[in-house]
Amino acid sequence: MIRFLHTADWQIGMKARHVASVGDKVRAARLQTVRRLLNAAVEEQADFVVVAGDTFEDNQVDNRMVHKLMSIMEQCPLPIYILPGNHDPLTPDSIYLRPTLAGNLPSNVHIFTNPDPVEVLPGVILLPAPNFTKKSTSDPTAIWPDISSDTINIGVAHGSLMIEGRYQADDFPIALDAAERQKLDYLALGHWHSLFSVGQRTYYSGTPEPTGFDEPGSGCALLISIDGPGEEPKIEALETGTLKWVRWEYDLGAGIDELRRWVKQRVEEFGKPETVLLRLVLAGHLPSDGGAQLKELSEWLAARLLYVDIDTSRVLTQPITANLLNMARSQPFVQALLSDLKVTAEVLGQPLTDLPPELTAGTGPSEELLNEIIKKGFLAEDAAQAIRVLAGLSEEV
Amino acid sequence: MLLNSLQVAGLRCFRNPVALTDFDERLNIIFGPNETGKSTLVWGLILAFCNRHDVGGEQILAYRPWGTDLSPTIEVEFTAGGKRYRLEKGFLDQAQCILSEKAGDRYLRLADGKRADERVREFMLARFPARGLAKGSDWGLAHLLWMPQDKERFASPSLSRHMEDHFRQAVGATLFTSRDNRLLQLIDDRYAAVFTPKTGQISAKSELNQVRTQRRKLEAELKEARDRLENISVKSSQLETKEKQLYQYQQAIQVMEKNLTLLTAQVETVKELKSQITTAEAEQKAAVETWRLLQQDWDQVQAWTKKSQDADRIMKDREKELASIRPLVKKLQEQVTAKQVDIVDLTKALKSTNRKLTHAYKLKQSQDLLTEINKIKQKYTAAQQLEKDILNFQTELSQKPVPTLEQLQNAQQQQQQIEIYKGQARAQGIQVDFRPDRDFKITVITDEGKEEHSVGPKHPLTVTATGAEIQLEIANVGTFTIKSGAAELKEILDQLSMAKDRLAAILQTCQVESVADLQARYNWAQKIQQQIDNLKLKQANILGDHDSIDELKHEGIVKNQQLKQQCQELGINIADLNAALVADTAELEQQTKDLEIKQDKAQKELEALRKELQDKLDRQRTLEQEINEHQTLKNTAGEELKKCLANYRGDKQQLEQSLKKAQDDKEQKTRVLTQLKNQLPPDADHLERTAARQKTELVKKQQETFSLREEIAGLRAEINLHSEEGLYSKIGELEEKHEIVQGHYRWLAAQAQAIKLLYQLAHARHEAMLTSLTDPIREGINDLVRHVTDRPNRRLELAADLSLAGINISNEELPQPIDAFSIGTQEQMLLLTRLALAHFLSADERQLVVLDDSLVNSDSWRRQRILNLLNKAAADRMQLVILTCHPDMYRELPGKRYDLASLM
Repeated sequence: MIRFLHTADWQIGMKARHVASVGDKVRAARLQTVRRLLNAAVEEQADFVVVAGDTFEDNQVDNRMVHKLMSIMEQCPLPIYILPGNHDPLTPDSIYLRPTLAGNLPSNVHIFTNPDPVEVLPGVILLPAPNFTKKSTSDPTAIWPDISSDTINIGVAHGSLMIEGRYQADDFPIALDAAERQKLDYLALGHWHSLFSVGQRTYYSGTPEPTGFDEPGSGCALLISIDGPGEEPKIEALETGTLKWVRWEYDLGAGIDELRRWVKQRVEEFGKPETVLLRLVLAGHLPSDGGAQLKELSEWLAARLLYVDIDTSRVLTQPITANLLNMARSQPFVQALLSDLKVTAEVLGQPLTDLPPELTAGTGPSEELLNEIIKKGFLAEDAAQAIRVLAGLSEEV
Repeated sequence: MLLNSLQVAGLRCFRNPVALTDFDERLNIIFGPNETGKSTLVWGLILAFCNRHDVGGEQILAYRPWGTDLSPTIEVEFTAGGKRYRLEKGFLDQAQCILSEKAGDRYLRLADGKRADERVREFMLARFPARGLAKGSDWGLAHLLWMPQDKERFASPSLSRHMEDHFRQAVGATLFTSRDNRLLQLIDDRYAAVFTPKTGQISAKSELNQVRTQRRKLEAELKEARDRLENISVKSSQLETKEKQLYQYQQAIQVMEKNLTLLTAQVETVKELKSQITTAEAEQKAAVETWRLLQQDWDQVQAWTKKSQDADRIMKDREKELASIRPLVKKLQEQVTAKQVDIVDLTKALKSTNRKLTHAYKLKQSQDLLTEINKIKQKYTAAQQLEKDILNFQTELSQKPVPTLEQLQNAQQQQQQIEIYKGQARAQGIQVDFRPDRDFKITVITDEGKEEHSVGPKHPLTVTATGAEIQLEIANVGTFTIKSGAAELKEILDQLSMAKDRLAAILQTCQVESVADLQARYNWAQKIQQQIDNLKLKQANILGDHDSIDELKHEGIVKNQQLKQQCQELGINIADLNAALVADTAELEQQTKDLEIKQDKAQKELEALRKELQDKLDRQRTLEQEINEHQTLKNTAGEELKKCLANYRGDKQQLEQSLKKAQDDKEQKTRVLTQLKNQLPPDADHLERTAARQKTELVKKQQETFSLREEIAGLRAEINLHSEEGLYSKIGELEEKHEIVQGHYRWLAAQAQAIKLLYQLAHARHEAMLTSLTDPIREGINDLVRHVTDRPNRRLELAADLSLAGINISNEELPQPIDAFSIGTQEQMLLLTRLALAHFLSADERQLVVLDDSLVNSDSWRRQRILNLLNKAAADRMQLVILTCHPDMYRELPGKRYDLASLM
């Protein structure tokens, strides 16, 4: 029986513009995950580790990161077999051909630089399918030679299984029956970041550390046990993720207080909230004074979580506040100004619907001023935002 | 607010207290000469109402009386809101402020100190500055209604927010509250935090600008890093291309090396074959040469043999032809001789006939000449006779002087002139009509001569004299003279005399007595001349082409000589000429013609015979020559043939056999050569060059491969070197930073845009509301302006804050600055503006309005209208205090008067 760890898509050196403020932490977490993952392999008494592509985010990843990764892998007593993927393909400028890596490769780390079968243990053959380009319409597994069925044959490839709607023609399409066709005991795949399998022998391990908010089923590696040639592999998923990427959606129909309660309750359920990156996607209507409450909630979350992003792009916020409404009722100037802003927004193509008609019945600015506003490139959002500013100022008067 | 009493002391020119009491609530006129302190009273009011009592600084010191330490004190009684107050205010050393309200007969203190100051300030809608005296714009009502009307006040914004409120209430316009002011101020502050208010540009110190700068810096850094990374990507692409190229080169080199090996083997084979070909070519060439020489000899033998045979054959042909030609030549020679004899006979006969014909011609010619000479003689005789007649007429004509036509006309003209003068003289001259009673003789002597008359009773004497005088001579009685008295007569007589002289000269020249004679002489001469001309014409007709008789004569002589010579030639006398017989020339001419035809024919026949003879002779010579030539050729051929066959023992057959053998040898060698050449591959000639070229290409490709390896190594080194830089991480970090800054910038920019929009709309709205507020005031002012100026189009233009913008003369034009108008107009406009403002400000209660000598420069017509306005305003709702040094100007106005000089 053999046992090995199947992992992929480490994407060391990943850029994190979408969570820019914690980019360094996100990158550091990926290395930490690799360390944890290799330790797990040792603990689980794996015979070797297979990385099915995209170890690095890019062939241009700089040496600092390479050295860090080499250092981690060097400390692992197990052989590690690395397959170049579409992010780090074996192009002439490949990171694997770089002297820093090629010249200092730890003895336990092996790079598949060609598709020749490798006997990693007696009777255990790895069939690698390294990517030589960033894109290809060829099935990378199609180049493998026929191989004896007397050995445990493990294919290692990086690409997209040809499932309708889930792959692109130039994204290294892999036939669904690749494992059967090659009489493989197991086909270790990389490229898709979420855990995924077809049949009993074809698996994507997913990335051990998620790269974004939309990767359910990621953050794990697979421990594979095969008793002998032709035997069905036993699969065990190990949780490896360091950071937790969470995406919540919430409709504001029940009010902002309810949101606050709901969020706080769920945050308390996090074991390590400081490792959580949260994207809270809100929908529905927000009262005019809801902005301040949302700000307060955001600050509350930021104090606890690693990263918070409250997405209000689907929220309709009423710009006018109660205080501003009161002012408009008692002060003709304010009322006229609100009418001006309303008319301006209409002229600029986005009427403001949340304003009380009785307080915004004015004729609006002069035609000359409206023309000047259009000429200066103001947008309808500017008018809505101006009302919010006015509402803010009304609090200070 | 209206004033009840005013007392000042220690204030500039008022060292001692001066009190003006019991002000009229409508009109008060305070008068006095200059420097009696009229304006100081106003400054006292402003000090009291618009400044804190404890104000310090240099400015308040200036209110002390000059050269004293006295402190200004002002006590004012006034009515506001229906209540009467007293304000006691002192400054500097006597600083105090007490406000009291009248209750019954006495005043009860309402406030003192700062509180009293504040209460008073509120009455005036004024503002206190942080330190020092308040400026005009802080004075509130006093600013508009009390202070001296100068242009400066109208040139600067004058409406404080308090004043605006006041106006708004006064005119019932939309309310602009203090909360609005604060809101506007907040908008301004927020705007100023982002934009420079003057330019509207983003201010350098604003957060937006700082974030924008930070973003730009990051973008620049990012661009630089990306460019560098892109450069590496380019290098990577180059590397990939080069590696592919290297692989292709290596493949190509393998193929080239294999091809070259095959090619080299082929080249060696071809070289061997070519060597054999060279030998075969040399052998074939030698065989060909041997054959060629033999063939050459054979050809020569054949040629000479043929030439000899040909020459022999030709000679025989020529000799045969020669034999046939020779008898023909002899016969032709005989025919030519006979024909020549015939021609000689014909020539003789022709000459004889020609001589006869010539003689006949000459005889006839001489006879004609003789006839012609006789005609010339006749003409000559006739012409001579005419010449004689002409001479006679000319002789007759030359015997008398003949007048010219001009002379004749001149004489006639003079005659006419004389007659005219005579007529004139007669008119001016003397007339005698004398009838004596007895007969007697009387001689009348005039200028024309003496004329004797018999006079008597039946013979009266009638004389008309043209002269100046007439003498009547009576025999034995004596002579008496009758003289004309006409003055012009002498002149006429002188003219007459001169005319007579001119006529007499002409007549004398022509030797005639009168003009009639002169005419007769002229006519006679004309007639003779006509006859001469007729004779000359006849003579000319006779002479014909001859110019003269002598010429005719000369021709006769010449022709006579010719005739003599011809007769001599003919051997005949002239006398016998006409009798001599002339042969028939026509017959002779026919004979001559026939002979000439015969002669021509014989001549042509002779020529033909001669030509035929010559042709035969020529042919005979040619044949003889050819026979000789071919004989020579035949001899030469024989010699040459011998020479050609000398190497073959003179045996032609031996030569023929040698030639056949050489021919076979040549053909065999050629076959061998062809076979060898056929073995050569078609591109044999190029094979070696191809091999050389491929070798060169191989070397070149190997060199290129080497270069390519070096380039690849270089590119790898560059890419590896770059990997040390950490550029990828740097870009990642920069992108993340940029993302954060960009988000922040977008938020700030959106905020800035919103603030900018809010700022523009708020100010536009504020401006519009101000305009709505001030419009009624404008209309009020312009009603007054139209009333005073009586010019309906004239309008005073005010800005939204009621500052004076100028005067509009017509609707179409821009307002003219007030400086453009006369001092009088300026002071009228300022006064009317004050009255209009006061009209609105006194809507609720009567307001004190101070006018400081406002009509000094106005004309009497407008002044009168303004005085009427003042009177009405005072009656309606204002308390007017007029300060003036021209009290007479206001004498029509009612009200209370204060003589300031008498109060001091």
